[in-house]
Amino acid sequence: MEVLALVGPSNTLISPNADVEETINFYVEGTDPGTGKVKAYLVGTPGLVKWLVLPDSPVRGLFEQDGRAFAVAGSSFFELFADQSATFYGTVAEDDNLATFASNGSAGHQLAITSGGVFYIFDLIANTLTAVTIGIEPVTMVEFMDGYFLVNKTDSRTFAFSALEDGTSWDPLDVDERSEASDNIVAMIRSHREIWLLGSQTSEVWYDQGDALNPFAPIQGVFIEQGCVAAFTAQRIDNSIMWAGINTDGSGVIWKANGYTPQRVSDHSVELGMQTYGFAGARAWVYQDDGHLFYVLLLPYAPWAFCYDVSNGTWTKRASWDATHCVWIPPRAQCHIYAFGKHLVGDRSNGAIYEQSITIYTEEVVSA
Amino acid sequence: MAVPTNTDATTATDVGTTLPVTITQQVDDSGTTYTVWYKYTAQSGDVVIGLFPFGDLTTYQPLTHVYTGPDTAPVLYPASSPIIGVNLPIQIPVTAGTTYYIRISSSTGNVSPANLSLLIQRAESLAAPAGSFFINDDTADFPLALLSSVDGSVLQFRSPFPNGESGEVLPVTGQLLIEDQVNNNLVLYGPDLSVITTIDVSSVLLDHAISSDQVDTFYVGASGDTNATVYTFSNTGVVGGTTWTLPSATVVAIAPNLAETKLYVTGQAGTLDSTIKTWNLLTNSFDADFAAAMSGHAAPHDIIVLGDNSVVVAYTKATATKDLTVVRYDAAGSVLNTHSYGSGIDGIANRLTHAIDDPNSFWLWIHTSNGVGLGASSTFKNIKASDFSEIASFSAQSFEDGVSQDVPKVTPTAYFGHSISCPFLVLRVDVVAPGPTGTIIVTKTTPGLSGITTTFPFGASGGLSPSSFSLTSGTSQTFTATVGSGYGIAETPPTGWTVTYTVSNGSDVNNLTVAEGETVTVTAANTVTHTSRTDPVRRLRQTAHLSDEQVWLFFSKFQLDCETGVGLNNGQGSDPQVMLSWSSDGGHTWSPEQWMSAGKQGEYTRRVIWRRLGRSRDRVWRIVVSDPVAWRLLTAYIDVAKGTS
Repeated sequence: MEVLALVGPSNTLISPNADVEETINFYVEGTDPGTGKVKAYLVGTPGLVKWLVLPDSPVRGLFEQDGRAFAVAGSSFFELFADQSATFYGTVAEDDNLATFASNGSAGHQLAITSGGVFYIFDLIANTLTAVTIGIEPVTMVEFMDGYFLVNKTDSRTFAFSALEDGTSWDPLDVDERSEASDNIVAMIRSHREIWLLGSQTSEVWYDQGDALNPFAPIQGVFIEQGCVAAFTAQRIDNSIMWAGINTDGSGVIWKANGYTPQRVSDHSVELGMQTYGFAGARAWVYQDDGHLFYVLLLPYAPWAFCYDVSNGTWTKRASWDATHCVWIPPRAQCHIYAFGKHLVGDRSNGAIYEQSITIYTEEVVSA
Repeated sequence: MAVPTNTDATTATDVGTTLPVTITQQVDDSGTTYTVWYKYTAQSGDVVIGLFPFGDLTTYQPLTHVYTGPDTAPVLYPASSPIIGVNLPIQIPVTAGTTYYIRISSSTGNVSPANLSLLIQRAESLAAPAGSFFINDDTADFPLALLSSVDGSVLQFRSPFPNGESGEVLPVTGQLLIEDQVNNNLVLYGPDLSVITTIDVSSVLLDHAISSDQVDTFYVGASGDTNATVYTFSNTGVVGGTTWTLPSATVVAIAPNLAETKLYVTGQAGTLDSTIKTWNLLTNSFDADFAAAMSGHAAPHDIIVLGDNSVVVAYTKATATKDLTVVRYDAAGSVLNTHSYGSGIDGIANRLTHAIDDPNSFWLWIHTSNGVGLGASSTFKNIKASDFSEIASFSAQSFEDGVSQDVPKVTPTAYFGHSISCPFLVLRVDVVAPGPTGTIIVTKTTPGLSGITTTFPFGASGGLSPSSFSLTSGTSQTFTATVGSGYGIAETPPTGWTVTYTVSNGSDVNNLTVAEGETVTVTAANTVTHTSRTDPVRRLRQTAHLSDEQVWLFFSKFQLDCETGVGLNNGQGSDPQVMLSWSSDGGHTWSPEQWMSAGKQGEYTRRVIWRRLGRSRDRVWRIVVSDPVAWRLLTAYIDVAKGTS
């Protein structure tokens, strides 16, 4: 009797004869620090159950802070409640991008939203949604740091910052341009107390230098020869960030920042998949279950999502099964929050929000 | 004597539910005459309630106001025209379940003795036979009165009914088109007074001028800044394709001739011109005037065209004498008959309408007092066209804003009456008496979703009015429905929404039943349209290549080490299956699946083994599972023998 190497990640290479290992809807869990019967084994990925269906679609963004949860579905903005209900608070502009959120919490009682190139402030006390003109529209992403909301202008090198703790006040002079390289900002993401400006070829990192008039400046000596191929692949994870890269040499590598140095975390199998299916509309979301920190990369034209487990460095795949045509199809979720003690994920094509749990072994799928 | 205890709304004396009732109270004490309060909660079937507070007229004259709650801050009722009367019958429209507060004060200060008598009674609800009069009220919130064409008594009140100055009935089919001057709509009724449709004309200003071809088409005049426009509507409410623009900002009365080639028109803005003009409907221009102005007379409110194409007009002189003259012209404008009804005529509302059974007679409605006020009453005359002889004539007391225009009386007699208003029409079919009623409330909810601004359109059938309406989440529509069944509520859900109905009394939403005094709540709950299905999660693991110098490998056994005994109690997953297949060509093609149980619930020692698995020079194994159980795959063991080639 021989022991077969049953457990492992996906590793379908360009030559099937070299390796055709595939792991779909399982993830790898090691048995250490104990002395397990095996060093690692495969665990079934979480299932889904319908939590709420919103009257607009798709679910383009979810956000939670301090017990309040919000969603943008289609062109509608909702607050979500633990009893699986929602309140509609207004309409937002809609495009194919995800909505992004940031809040100044109890300092300003504001939730900032970007959607469809427009910036909005939701007053967390009055529960009113207002479109705010920044002056650099259209915008892509919003972040919050040190009391400022920061918003980047789409397809430009520009980003703006708000008045302290007030996302309704934007001085036309409070606009910065990245200057260390000439490529446009694709994604803007805060990590710790620094703003990463991921460009279309290179990236730089800015910090709050404490100057009230000109608070943000690039960190001297930090310049990254790697850009971001798809804005919404950039995610905070594991006290760092991950994103799908691109530079003058090529694209289609998933990078994770190690300090200010990007480290390649994708493997040839994943990179082959990304190059095959392309990055149009690519987006990623992150969640943690049982100590596994997952980066789930959804490529709309791929039949599965590529899923990186930070805890053990393995890539596996997530997919739904089309029993009619006997093919894998992309999984439902395109965004995530941890709210009300649950993992909630938003459907990529309709208004459904699902609860995701490893104690659910089926997948309830909503069709509009 | 004693100080009254019912001196504000919170201490108002409840008159109970049995009507009629007469209450007496001495309201003065030690030189002070007190204001006292009573209250009445309207019962099912109540449409109009009559109040007659009276004193001796020489010392104590009670002044009456009506309010609605709350009793801590009562509000004058109706809001549009609060009812105030001194020693006069008052009639108020009421809604079942609402409490009305009656405040009675002394209009003559502190007098003694001050002995109040208060009579409260419910208006009759009698069938109105064909030929009865239809007199609407232009005061918001006041109901329609159907009057006997024998003696002018009120047969029944109808509420709610749009408040308006004008209307028309088609003599053959009986549809009525009524002006709703509050909402600037036109409401089309069937001959039984059921709503057919509401026509939104909010873009124009209705001019109180509605007429018809007396067959199937209504003519409606509307004002403009410099021109007036005449529209047509079919007897189903469809707007006609042709409109006419008249070079006059307003029209007071219009009427087409029977051939519909010309329109008789009165009215010039800001003038007392009583000229009858002729608008040529074919050339879209004025022809020569039909009849010259009658000197000193106002533009007549009504022009009626009789069956012989003759035209009848009632002229009222715009002076204090209010002389009334009725003239009948032939189609060419020559006078056929004329009759003067003398002076002392109210100039506001002398109106004409057709008779039901005689195309060559008509009804004339006259106010025979010196203007609106004490002593005002109405006279109704049925006049034969050929010689202006009177076929019938009678009088009836009229009300304005709910207060009788009779002279104050000491005798405690309450009665009901029509308003000094318009339109004045004749019913073409019998209208049954409203029976006891219940209430249907349609409530819109979006369970789990609040703040939704979507508008949900509804239709109401079975005679409910309005027949169409819209609700947003959290709002409701209330109907008063005659006791019975056959009422229906149907929403047309907007795209993306699905509706489900809950009816409080369990009746079918398409055949609602309502009992007397019952409130039936129809909850129309909308959820986002979707279907959901629960799929098993298919899971796959495909191993690395197993080969050894590409010689034959003979596989006699494959044993999967996985979490066993995790089957469910029943259904799919009660005997979870593992599907094994393999590729002997490097992962290009695959064998058929071979299924093996991973153990039912509690079969923890189950071994998952496949045997006789063939030979390969390169073998890739594939494990697929989909049963809804907790899958954990640990490893696999194989029995393999290496060949020699």
